[in-house]
Amino acid sequence: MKLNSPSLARVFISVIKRDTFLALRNIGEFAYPILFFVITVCLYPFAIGPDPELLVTVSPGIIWVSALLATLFALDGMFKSDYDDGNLEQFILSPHPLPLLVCAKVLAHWLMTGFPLILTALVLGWLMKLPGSALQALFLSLLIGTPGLSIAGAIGSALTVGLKKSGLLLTLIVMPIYVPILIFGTGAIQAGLLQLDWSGQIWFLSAIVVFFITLGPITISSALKISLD
Amino acid sequence: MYSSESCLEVSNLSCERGFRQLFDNLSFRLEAGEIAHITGLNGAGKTTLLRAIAGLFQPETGEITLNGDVIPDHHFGIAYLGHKIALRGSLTARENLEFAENIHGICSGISIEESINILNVRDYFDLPISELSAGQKQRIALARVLRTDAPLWLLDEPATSLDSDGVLVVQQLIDQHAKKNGLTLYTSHQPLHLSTSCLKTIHI
Repeated sequence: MKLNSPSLARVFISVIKRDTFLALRNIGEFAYPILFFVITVCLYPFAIGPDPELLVTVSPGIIWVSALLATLFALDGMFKSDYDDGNLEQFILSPHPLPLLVCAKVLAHWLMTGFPLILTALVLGWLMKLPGSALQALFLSLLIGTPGLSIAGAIGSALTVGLKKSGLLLTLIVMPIYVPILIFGTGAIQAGLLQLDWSGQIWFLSAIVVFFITLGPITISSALKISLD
Repeated sequence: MYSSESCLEVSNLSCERGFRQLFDNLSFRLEAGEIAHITGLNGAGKTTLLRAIAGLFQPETGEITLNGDVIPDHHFGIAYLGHKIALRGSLTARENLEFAENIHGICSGISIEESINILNVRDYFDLPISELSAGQKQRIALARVLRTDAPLWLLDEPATSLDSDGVLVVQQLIDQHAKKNGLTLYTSHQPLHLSTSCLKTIHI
């Protein structure tokens, strides 16, 4: 048998390219979480009043909770299509490490949901008149936190991929995992609002995300194998 | 040509679905160049057997080895065509095959162009899979199996949805694979007329 094994980097990039290409081709699915994020954030002033000071005070929580919910909406489809059409079986039969393929899928998911959310959040933060230091904290906390949301969410998505109506169960599995990310993400912005040093929250957030990135791909791979069994 | 020492060994395999025993203590051995037709009633566990050999299903008891390596620890060298044919509807056949090539990391030396000619799929090769008929999709899925060059082919109803010409192509592909010392296990309710003398029937 002639071996023509592409490098791991090439395989990794090919999965990212395919998933981003599929997301861009299906623009409605790609735009839905971002629109959801914008609409949710915009609804808060109607509910709690347009007082600028109040909005600035609650904006860290509003933006982070809305980003979290928007990520959650996009999670369901992360492995579902590959499960439905049989590509997930081929991933498992691949000679390449499954955690590597999983990492590529999660990164593609983050590129198409997490990254646009960060850019949108910056615009929304500016509209809410967040001061410069809080905007910086917002940007950095989301830049570090959203990959954590994607990878932690992928664990729930992999566990529930074989179920027909997995939405509620997925939420129940993922929400508790999201809590530490939410606490330190909003904590950093609140410290920024009070002109305090927010590096501590960012370091804690980074540690949590590194933990997820380290153990997440192995957990997701095992969960996918169980779901296919 | 594959190694003439290739062999698949299934020992004392038992599988359950839910709380139902599908088969118990199933043992057989397949040598290089042999073809096994798995027969049985609907629900007997033919697909489950193929999935277990592919390492996609955990059997209750028993062991499966391919060239001495235990499955599922070792997946290398298996081409699996299941009921889900692993083609993404919004990608073209070409894009699907190129992606499959990257994922499997092995190439038979058969170019995409050659596989197009063998499977006779040129007319719709650059169309999205979602626009193809079930038979056309099955031909593209067979092209994927052909391109992987794995010594062990696991084909679950490979002739499904195919026209008479397609069935002939499947027969030729399986025969040629056997001549190259490949191993094939297939399930089919539709009789396949294979020219090889190395055909076994495994009834479960």
